[in-house]
Amino acid sequence: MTAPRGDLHARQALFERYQPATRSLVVAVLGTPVLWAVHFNGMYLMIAMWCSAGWPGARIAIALFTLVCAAASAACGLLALRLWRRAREGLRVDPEPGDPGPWDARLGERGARAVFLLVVALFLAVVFTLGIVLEGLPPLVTPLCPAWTFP
Amino acid sequence: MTSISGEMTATSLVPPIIAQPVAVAPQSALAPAGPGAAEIGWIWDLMLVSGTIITLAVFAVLGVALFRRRRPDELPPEADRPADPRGEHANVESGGRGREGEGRPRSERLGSRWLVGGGIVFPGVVLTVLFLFTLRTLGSIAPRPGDAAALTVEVIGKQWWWEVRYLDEDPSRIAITANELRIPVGRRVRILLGASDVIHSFWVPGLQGKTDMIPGRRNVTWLEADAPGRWRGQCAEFCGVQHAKMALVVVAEPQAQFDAWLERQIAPAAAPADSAGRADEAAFLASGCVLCHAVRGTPAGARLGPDLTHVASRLTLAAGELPNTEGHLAGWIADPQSVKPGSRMPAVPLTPQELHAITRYLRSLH
Amino acid sequence: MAERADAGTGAGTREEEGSGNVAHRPPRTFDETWDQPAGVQGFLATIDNIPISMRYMVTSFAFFVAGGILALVMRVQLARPENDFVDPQTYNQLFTMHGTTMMFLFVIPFLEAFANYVIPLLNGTRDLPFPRLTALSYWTYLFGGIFIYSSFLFGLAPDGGWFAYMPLNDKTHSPGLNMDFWDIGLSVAEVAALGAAAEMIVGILRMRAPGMSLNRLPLFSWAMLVTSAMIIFAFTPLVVGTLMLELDRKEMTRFFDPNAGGDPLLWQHLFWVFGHPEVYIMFVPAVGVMSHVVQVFSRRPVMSYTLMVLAIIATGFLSFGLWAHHMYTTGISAVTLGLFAAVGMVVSIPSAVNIFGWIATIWAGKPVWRTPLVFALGAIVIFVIGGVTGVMVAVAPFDFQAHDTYFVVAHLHYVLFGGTIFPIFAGLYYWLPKISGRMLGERMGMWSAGLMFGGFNLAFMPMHWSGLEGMPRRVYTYPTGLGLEGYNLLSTIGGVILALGVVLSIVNFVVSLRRGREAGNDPWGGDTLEWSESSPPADAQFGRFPIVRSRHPMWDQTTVRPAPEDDPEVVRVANAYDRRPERWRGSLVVGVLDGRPIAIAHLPRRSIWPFVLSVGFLLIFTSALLEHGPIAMTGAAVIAVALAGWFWPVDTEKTAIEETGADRVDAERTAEAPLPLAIGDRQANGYWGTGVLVAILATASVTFLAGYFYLGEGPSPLPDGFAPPPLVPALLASVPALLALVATRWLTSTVDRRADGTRWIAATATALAHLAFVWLGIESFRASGYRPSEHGFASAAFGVVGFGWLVSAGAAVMLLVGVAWAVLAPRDPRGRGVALNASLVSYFAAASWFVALAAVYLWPRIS
Repeated sequence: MTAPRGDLHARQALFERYQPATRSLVVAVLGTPVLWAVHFNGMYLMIAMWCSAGWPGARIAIALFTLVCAAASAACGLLALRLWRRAREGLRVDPEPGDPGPWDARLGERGARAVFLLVVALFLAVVFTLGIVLEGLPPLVTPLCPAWTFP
Repeated sequence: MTSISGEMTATSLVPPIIAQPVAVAPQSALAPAGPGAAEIGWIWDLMLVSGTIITLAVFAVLGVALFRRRRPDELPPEADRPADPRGEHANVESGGRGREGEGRPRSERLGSRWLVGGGIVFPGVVLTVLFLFTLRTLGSIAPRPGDAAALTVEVIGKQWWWEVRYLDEDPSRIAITANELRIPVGRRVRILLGASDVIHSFWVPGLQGKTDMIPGRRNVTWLEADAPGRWRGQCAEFCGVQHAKMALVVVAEPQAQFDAWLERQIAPAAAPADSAGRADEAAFLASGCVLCHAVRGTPAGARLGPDLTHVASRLTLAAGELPNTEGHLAGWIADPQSVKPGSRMPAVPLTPQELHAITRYLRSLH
Repeated sequence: MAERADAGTGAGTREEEGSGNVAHRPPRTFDETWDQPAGVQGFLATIDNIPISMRYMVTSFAFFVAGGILALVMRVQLARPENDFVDPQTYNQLFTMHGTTMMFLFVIPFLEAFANYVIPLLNGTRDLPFPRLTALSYWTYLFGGIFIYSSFLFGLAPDGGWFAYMPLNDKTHSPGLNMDFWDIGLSVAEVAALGAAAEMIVGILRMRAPGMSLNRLPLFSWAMLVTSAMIIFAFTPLVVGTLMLELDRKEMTRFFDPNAGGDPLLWQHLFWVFGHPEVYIMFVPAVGVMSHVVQVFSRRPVMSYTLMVLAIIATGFLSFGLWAHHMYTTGISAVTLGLFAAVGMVVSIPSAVNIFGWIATIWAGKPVWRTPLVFALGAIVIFVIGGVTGVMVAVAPFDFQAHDTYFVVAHLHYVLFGGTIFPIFAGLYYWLPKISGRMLGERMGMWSAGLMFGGFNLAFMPMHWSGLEGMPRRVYTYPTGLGLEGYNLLSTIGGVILALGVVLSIVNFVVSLRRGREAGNDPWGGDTLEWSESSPPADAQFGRFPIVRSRHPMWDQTTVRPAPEDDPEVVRVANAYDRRPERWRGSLVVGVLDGRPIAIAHLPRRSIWPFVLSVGFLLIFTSALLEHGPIAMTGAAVIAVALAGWFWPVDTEKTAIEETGADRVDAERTAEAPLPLAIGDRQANGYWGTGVLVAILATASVTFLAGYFYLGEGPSPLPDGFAPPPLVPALLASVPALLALVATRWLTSTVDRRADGTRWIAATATALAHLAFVWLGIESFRASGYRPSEHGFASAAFGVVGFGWLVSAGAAVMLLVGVAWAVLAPRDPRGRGVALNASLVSYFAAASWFVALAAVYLWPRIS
């Protein structure tokens, strides 16, 4: 699996194989907090709207919304997990950790960065998925709308 | 209730202002006396015990971390640390260039487990459980739609007193009082909350948590007392100069006693029985008092200050500040600003005779 | 302007009159370039991060002492029931000013001062990207603080609470100038905080030592990066809120007036959407400081850097979902309470990660018992207690009892002392030797830590009980007989002991300046780059840029000089900029992710204009307070002059352009100048700074929109005879907005294609489109019949569109400056930079109109 020193083409192939693409890295890292923010604000608005308009089916709509957000958040977490495993594999493959040469031609340098970001992403996914699930609970347990309206 | 002698004699018409306040009743959230406060008290007990255990456990771990005996080989002293020109000593996880898994001390792996276990899994589980309790309690103490059928009292926060109105579909049967809330024992009473000037907060810790009173909005809470008794309540939202002295008393009475009290409060003030009484009433009606206060059954109908129709039946004066005795009443009328500096009640210039007559008249309003 | 710009190209000798530079001749050597100006004028013109942040620290510490004295007076008043040490009015002033001082005049400025000093050293760079902004932040903060405190001289100190709830603080209920002092003075401090945040974001992302990739960023830098982003999104709503508050107080609008379609709860939402993140804005930097102290005094890297970073980022996000914790009792429905309680539970997780991270670090390391570690341990103990009570008050039903009582007072002081004050002291004891070059007294430090810790707990632990026993917050006295006497007496005694501890530390600081042992470069055996420099650091800090290969360069690397295995390109850069450039201040710009040098940035050397500009701000704010026309005119004139002076071409920048060949398309990179100058393109710091500005503007815009929808959906009725505003004038105004979008695209393409000849046409067209839009926009609002001074909903609609006009007008001004550059010096890269920056604002201004159009003109039709 090792690539000869200085063989930039082979290194490039290694990058493509082990390094996450920037776009998937962004999704993995920022996806869960953004989903949480969407869910949190969405819940706030949905509760306010449903209660002021008095539409039916509020609980089902809110539960569905929570499920979708939680699933998407978990998917981001799984993506992070997969990318992390691959990037870690790449670190093992990198032949010369202290290899002279341009920094970014070295898998270890980039790989360490990716591993770092992906571990952060992984735990962000845990925290924010838990957040989304907990936020989804109140409408199922407590009375949905206040027992009074504005004067 | 502390009883303070307030007998007035002719020589001391204006008694010295007694700064001694009225400790009318307990005001503690730790001694719940109704189902609302009891629910909250229960969750407090739960959190106090579990929170103390967790805190002490964390301190214990910290203590061991600081004082545990360290093996001589565990960490080289600073001077002996290997020079590491290529940054390989630091492994990849700590941002160095070393290989994964190499040179990663056992303590590092152990530490990560501590972090994940103690920092994520443990609080995650504990807090989820606590959250479920929270939701349960929230549901059980929330006002219910069914409360609308119950006895409904409207409490309006004002700077710095409380107007209390016992609502009734028949407008002539609405009782208006101030700074005192009487409720029947064992019955859930619906409280509608409003404010006419700034935001206040209605808080009777012995019976229920607080709810804000917001101008332009209507909030709802409820009170229920398990046994007869008195509880002190206090405004809990900063509302200006005399925020500290905006208190009220909640009195829980057996149903029959309460009903009788409410009937008396609904009735207008009784007309004075004799000519001396009529003279006192005339003195009151001729004074500046009527610019702000109402006495139902007389021409005095202003609504800026508390309704005085049955002022003599109340336990306190000046929103819980003074016991309702003749001496305090006269003192309060003569010089409100030294009892509650900044109070909205001005000192109306009165001759001693006028003050005497007005005090007598108000004392007659049972 | 034309003459000066052209004259500046010829000779570098005549600059001093116009540019505001105090130097009488251009600097010739590296040391001369980085030295600090002398004399009074020099004092005012200094913009280097080190002297500015030292003034910042001293000033904010003085406010800390002032706020502490206010607290002591309050404690004396509360020592026994029915006390009359101070009257109610004074007491209300005391607690209002105590909160305001500690929040706005001490903690945030102090942490920013700390960061200003330490971050460039930690990150291995010579200064922050916008030194003049640092100076502006300091001067405006200083004047704002003095402005607020001057109210004591007139007996008009703010007395409506540091949270300024409405309607208590409207003109009817607070007719005096007290809250105007508060509101206006605060706006100044907010502007300072926003400026510092923009500085930090760009500085941390882009100006670091070569090799300091994102995964090697010191934790304090991570913390300040996240904090600064939080400041952008939290302080902006506060700026908008305080603006609304002041307009309401002047009775020009009715945002919060419940009798005229406003809603007092809107203020609470705006205030707490700032106020809760604020708690974490104070806590997150402390996480960074604590991590540094704990790892250095445990003699090992902090346990799980990655999880620490995770905790910092997660806290940043979650802190924005907690604002209703301060509004649990306002009648919010049970289900919404549950929603906010859920976030309250989740946000405990990152904090737990931090705590366990420090404990695990100590466990695995070998604690060295020095004062910084002792303060850090105190912080952990106190913060754990504050965190546990924090979970308690997040439990909504319990909060119904605890809210606005001394329980909350106890909780918040536990969080702030554990989460901010003790870490600040730990950081002071840790970094003061670097700052002053002298060691602090250990014994005195230990005594101070002990007294502060003991006094603090004695003062605040009893408050948990006094609160639950029925003592509300913000009361000037309490009656006997409720059982509160004992608790309060203990609290007062504890407060005095705590104050003694603080005094002891202050004595320690002062004494050490004269008598302290020489610290040397690295007294603690620290791991980060600042310890590689002399103490105190040289003016330029890093004459030679260090090369970073590890997260702990001073522990893991034998040298921060180039090593054989380093990237030859990077070594070349490091050598080329060894005590160079000589005639202008330059520092490296690196890639955000990889820390690889990509450009060199020019930094201004000295400037009087930040000072002058803040004097202008002070005048404007004074005129707003007194409603005095002539002062306002003077202030506006001063601001105009200061802005012109600020943006006037700087001569060292000209030198930099010439040296680096930034004005030539085919500039060769030479051995002396291997990197391009970060100017006039998307690598310029100014462009990134403008990006942060647009984020601020967008946040403000969203705040206005949120207020609009809140009032539209709220309990207050619409005005009598309400009709949706007519669409046609609004659509008419959309035409120039659309044109502005297209013209902006054209403008950016002229920059990208280096079509310097046509740039002025594009810029003029864009500016004209904006001016036309502002005119038609005002006309369309006139046609709507909304009266902002009469109804809250109309005020909110006016806020949404009016803010848009303001931004458009600002964009037009920027574009016109761009036109001037394009006409007078078409080939100068600075002109291209101005055009690019203006285009960012222009895009935002034009695009935001369409959102406003949908909200103000379409939404009333469909709902």
